[in-house]
Amino acid sequence: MITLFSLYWPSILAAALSAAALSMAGAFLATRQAGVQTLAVSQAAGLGVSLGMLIVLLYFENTHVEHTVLPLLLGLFTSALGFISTEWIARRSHSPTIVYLCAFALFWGLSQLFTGFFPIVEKHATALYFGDIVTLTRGESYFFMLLASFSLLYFLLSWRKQAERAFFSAILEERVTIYHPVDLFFYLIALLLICFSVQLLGLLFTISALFLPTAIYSFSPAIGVKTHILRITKASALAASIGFSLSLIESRFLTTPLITIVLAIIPLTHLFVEKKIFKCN
Amino acid sequence: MLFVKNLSYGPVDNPLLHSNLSFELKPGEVLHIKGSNGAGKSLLAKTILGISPLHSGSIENSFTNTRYLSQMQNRATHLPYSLFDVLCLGEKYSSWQKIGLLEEKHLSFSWNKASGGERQRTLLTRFFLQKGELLILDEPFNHLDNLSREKVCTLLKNILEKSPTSAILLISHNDNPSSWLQNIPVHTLNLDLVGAKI
Repeated sequence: MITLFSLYWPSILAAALSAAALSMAGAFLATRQAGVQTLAVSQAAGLGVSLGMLIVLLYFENTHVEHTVLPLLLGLFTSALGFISTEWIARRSHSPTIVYLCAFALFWGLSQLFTGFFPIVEKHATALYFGDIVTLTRGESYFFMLLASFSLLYFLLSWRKQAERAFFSAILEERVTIYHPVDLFFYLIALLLICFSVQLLGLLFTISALFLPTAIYSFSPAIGVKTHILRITKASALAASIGFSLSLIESRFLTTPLITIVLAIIPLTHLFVEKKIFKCN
Repeated sequence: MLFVKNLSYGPVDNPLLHSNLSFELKPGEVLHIKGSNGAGKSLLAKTILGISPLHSGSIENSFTNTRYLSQMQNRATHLPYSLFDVLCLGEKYSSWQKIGLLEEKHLSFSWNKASGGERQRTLLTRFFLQKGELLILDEPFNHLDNLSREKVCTLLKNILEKSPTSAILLISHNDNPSSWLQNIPVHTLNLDLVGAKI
């Protein structure tokens, strides 16, 4: 067991840090009413990653596909394209949520069509949805640790400004503020995180880490943005570490689905205990 | 000074709401923009601020800094903001008590559970604590009771009296600011009567 942990500690740490960073991004995205849009953008990232995989498999022989940066770059490109196009259409629509859902369906359809047409990328497409954290290489783990640490630090240091921008975006309908430097940098970091997470950790892990903790903690009687942010960050990091570790102990537990379940269980347990204490007081 | 000359504006990808609209706002003055629902009052403010694009014409704003209170959408947020959060996010305003619209007990209230009036008073407190010579307020009296309304009127009047370089652009569809802004020049622009609606 100790051997397993000594082998996988970089992946466990990478998963914990990325879950924490994603959860913060998710809280601000949800406040900016961009939750459904994130779904479409993540799907667009997956499409780009599959396209990159195909190019690597076809034209770069003897290249370890997991190590290549081309799928990541193409994923980043298609997700940025997905974000800009959905944003542009949504601003002209009276029901942006429907626009995002339609975009999600379109990107999903395109991905399916693509993998069906090129069966060579089918194996990777499955990993894209359900994640393949255990197969992260050391290099990928260190890279993700670095990216997640930077994002987390940025969100923690600028949480007041982020919360302010998110608030005014939601309450005062200032959706046009995307060009404000704070918003621009926020979307850039969120896009990077989402894209790399979709590529390396899978769509399921990405969506779960983004929204599960913040959605569950939004039912808490506790008031205050700082409290909420600290809770989701700690719970996500803990859940990713526990879920990953448990999947190492019992190999029949698939890593990403288990992390998803733990990402829900920890906040739910915390809320249950909190509500009991709240009632007692 | 704010100079608006031959302004044509309207929602993006939609027909123009008004064309060739011209007016000016000098320091120490109040411009009351009124009109029925959909007349384009809020959009005019957003066009002046550069949030919405203008179709043609020119806008020159020589005031140092502009404060803007957008019309509040009375809805809940995903993050559990307290009224203190809303007041102090971005910048820490320690002198909120001087404004007199909020009490200590309000600060711990949840935004999502606060009444429309409490929400509006929080946003107004934040607005009054900011710096800026040109004040643009979009329906600031919405959700307010009479007492809070009077306080807001007094605060606005005090700003103009104490800071002669300031000016107010007030958007409101039924208030008459001349009644509470004695001795202060108030101009009215009724967008229902501006015959330029296309």
